[in-house]
Amino acid sequence: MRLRRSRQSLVSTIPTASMADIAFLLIVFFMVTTAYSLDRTPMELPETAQQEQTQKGSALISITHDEVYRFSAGEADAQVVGGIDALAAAIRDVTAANTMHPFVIKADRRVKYRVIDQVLEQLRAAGAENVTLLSQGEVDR
Amino acid sequence: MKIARRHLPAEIPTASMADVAFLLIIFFLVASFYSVTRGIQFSLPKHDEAALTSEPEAAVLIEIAADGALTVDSRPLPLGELQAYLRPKLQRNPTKAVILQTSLDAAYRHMTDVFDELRQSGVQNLVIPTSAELEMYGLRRLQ
Repeated sequence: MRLRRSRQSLVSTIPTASMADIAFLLIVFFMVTTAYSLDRTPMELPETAQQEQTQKGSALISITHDEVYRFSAGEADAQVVGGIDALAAAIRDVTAANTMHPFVIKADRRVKYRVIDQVLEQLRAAGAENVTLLSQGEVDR
Repeated sequence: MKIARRHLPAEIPTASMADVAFLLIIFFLVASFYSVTRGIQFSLPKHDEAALTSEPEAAVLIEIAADGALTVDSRPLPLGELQAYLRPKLQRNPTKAVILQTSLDAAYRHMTDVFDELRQSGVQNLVIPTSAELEMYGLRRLQ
């Protein structure tokens, strides 16, 4: 017996109707979760094993190896500030509105503790309560 | 004269949409890897005089010298043994105060190293007095 080949050839298609939905869902997910760095100054961050996610919109205090301060209230890119007094004024502007506003200190690991101490003192004096020291994950040894 | 109307099927060209979409996905994926948004968190104490001026045996005092050497309760201690030293104390009293005093000439990373160890051993009541605070209470400042 000879089987008759069907005349109706099936068109092979990959169903792609939902692909756009999936792709846009992923785009929206990454858009929402991506926090842009406010300060892209390269520096060697201290390494810690314990890490928590910082909050989006945190005010950022960046201190480079050669003790240049940069500050951002959370929205705009970090700008260089003149010195500790200018930084203190900028911190007070933020805490005057909300003392619970999160602060992130991004400091180079080689910076002297004297500098960090000054910044912490200004934060404490301004009444900031939520401070995170930015670090990078510790490499397992 | 009659112009023959041709029926053009109305279609939105979507062939490149997937390309555009995946390009955007990859962009956001990569951007999310490059932003450093993780760190070690603490809440600044508001003039915690009680903890600072508490009896020596009520709190653990950790001092970091300029070269990063640790002195814990007036005895030198290597960083690796800090967790073992604190564990029994914290088991007895989980809210035991730990005071972390860093020499002003020490590098920032010495402080974060110790801070990291303290976080790992689960210290809840961590006090990091600033030098101005120490002066205010007339306490010794590390040189």
